[in-house]
Amino acid sequence: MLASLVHARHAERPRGVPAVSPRPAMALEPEALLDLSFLTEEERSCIARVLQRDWQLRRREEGRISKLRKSVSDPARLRSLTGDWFCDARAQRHQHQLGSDLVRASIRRRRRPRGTGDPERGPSRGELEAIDEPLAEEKEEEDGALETDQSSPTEEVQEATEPQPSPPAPAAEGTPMSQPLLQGDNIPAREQDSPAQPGDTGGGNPFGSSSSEEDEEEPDSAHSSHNAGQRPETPQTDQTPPAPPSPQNGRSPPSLLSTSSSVSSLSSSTLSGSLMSLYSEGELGRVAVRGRVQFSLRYDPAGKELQVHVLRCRELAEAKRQRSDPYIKTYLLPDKSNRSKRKTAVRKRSLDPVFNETLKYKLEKRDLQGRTLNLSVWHHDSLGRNLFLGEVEVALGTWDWANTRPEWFSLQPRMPIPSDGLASRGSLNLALKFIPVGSEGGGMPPTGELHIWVKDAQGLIPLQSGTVDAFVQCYVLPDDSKASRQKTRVVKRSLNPLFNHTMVYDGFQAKDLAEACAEFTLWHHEAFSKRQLGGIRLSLGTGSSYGLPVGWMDSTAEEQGVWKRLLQQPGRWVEALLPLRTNLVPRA
Amino acid sequence: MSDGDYDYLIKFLALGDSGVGKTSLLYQYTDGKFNSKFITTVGIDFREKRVVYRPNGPDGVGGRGQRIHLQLWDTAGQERFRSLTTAFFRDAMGFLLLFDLTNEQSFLNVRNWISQLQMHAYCENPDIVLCGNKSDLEDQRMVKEEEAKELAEKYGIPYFETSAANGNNVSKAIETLLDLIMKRMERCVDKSWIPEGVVRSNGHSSTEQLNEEQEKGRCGC
Ligand SMILES: Nc1nc2c(ncn2[C@@H]2O[C@H](COP(=O)(O)OP(=O)(O)OP(=O)(O)O)[C@@H](O)[C@H]2O)c(=O)[nH]1
Ligand SMILES: [Mg+2]
Repeated sequence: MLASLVHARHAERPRGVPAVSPRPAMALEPEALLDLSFLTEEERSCIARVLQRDWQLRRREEGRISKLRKSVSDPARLRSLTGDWFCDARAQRHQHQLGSDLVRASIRRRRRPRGTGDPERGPSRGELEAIDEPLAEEKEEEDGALETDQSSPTEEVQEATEPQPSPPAPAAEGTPMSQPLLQGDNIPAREQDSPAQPGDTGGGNPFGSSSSEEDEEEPDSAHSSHNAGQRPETPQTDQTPPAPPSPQNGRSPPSLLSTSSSVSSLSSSTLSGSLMSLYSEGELGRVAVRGRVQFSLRYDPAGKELQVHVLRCRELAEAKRQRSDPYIKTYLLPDKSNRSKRKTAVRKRSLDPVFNETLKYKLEKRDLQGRTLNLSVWHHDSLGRNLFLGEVEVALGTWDWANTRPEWFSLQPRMPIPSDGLASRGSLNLALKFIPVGSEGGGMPPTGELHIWVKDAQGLIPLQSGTVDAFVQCYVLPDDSKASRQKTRVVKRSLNPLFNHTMVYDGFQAKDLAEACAEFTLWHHEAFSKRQLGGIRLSLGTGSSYGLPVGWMDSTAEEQGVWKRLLQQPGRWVEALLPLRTNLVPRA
Repeated sequence: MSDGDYDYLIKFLALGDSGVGKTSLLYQYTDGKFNSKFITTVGIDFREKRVVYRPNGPDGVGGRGQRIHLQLWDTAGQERFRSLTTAFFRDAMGFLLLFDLTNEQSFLNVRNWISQLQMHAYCENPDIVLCGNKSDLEDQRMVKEEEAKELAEKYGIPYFETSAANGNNVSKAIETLLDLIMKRMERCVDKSWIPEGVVRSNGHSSTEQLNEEQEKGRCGC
């Protein structure tokens, strides 16, 4: 995504180090980190929550910016709309991260022994929030429309698995059962850090089941009882060993737990059965999105009603030869159920349809906070192949309700990345080494270090005909901040690019590595964007991290093997040549 | 056109001694409410608000309004959070510097806050609006309006006497800051793309503009 590439120019400097250089070239620039040890556990979690909110705002912003970069051609205008004027000025003074990233990294670093925290919230929450993906319920909000249903469960497919309290021994048990769910579902690899593209996850499955449809014809009952908005509390069907809750997650907030476990059960049925087709997007992404939609928003306090007055669209894409039969559908996210769905009538044969219809939602004004209006345009086909023509999302919590005039919005695509049904697009050759704290004598290193050596990729299969300008991006999750992100250089026009890039992440104990996941994604670099070919995830594949369910703990058996060897052989390089899979579970 | 959501994300940050009313002022601005109970801010917080900015000012013949998403950082005034709060200074485009009209020490500390800003903000001379808060407590006033104005003039920044309790001047102060930022942005953008740019579309005469530019143009943009 361009925004982050451009951003990286200011926010980051390359931090590769020679492969064997002992230190201190650390990914997180310890010298720049703040000493926040004076914070109490409660304060820490309080701050972490604020940072989490900021992180979400920023993801949304990055999404907005990347769209701007594609759509605004006037450079001066672009500079002001994107905030580049400010970033550039700041970059002259502050070479590194945003302050909030710095604090985030600093909080992450000052780990404290778990189990000493605020009993109400669960001991390690603060720390988790500082370093984690958004919490499950927040993720919900970010995830897009209904069509995402099939992918969001997938993301969380393993959360029932107990987190591994310490590596490496117990890891093996929890994992194998989850593999079948994760494989072969053709979840296309998507641009992982494409920010807050809410409907994005919905890109879910353009190829997995081409016969499937948008939701119109499906039986409502089946749908609403299985959608993510109101997950049924079905008992766990997986054969997860009944491991007792580990100390650090035993007290996780109930809302989190219940959400996740039910998703998990949902996902197994969704993915294995015929239900799958109900949730698949079908023809998403087949039509190049263009055009705009005009609507106004009004909240009627007397009737306690939100009124979405849909006026018209302009210059819609053609679903078929020179025609579309458009209609508009809305959801009030995070509710993705049928209750939340409203539709206009279909306008036949028009790329500039006039709707002039009001879609209404009964709710209290204060409940608008935290809701997002998802408005999508679809081509209706009598044979049932409805086609996605674009969408718009409006965060209602921050909408200016004084503004009741009709406004124009550009329609946005959901941008799935084609996977062509390929399971992998080549392989990545790398080596890793874990150096525990103090293991080199004299108290060195001061914290555990993870050394990564990205050597080369082999046998890449280009996305289109031609070649690949490849680079590899690495995160050590759950830290998905910029501070955690490392990139190799771009190697142009090669299907066997040699990177020879090394990096060091610090601040780890062995038990952190059991909760962590080193994610490597290989991208094709384009002038103003990038596209993912595939990736690998090295972790214990437990489906959860520090007690929170996460989709990205989806390592294959082979990948898990590498991570286990890493943990079992501290101080030694572990070599790995792994397929760049196209089915990484999307990261939020 | 841009993404349907908003046109600009503008980030402000409120700073000043503990208890001067930063949290209250922002709360008044975003929610129109006031809480007389003192709940000191832990480290950092922020609020958001959506506003529409009209470049020509309220009475100008306006082009279309710009949709602004404001992110308003609220810092803890307490000393112990200082290293953390100053880290956030660099993330903000403009600053609301508050003191408490009923607390002289908070006024004396304004200079220190300004030098902190000069050190840690995104540039040496960021846009700042000074607010003497708690103007509703007239009978407890310890800082004269003239004194405060003088100080503000010395730094070349606008000054407002605000009340988070009754809302007086609160929006005005924040909107003034927004106006400063939007104009600075315009200058920055102009400067880099139209080297000798003179034609501008805001309410100022071009000479005024140029003076302002000489004064403020030192930023790295
Ligand atoms: N009468 C009056 N009281 C105010 C005003 N603004 C704030 N207060 C009160 O002053 C106290 C402190 O206000 P806060 O807004 O919490 O102060 P702060 O600057 O955020 O303090 P820290 O978070 O510790 O940095 C609270 O009891 C407020 O109710 C005001 O304009 N008038
Ligand atoms: Mg406060």
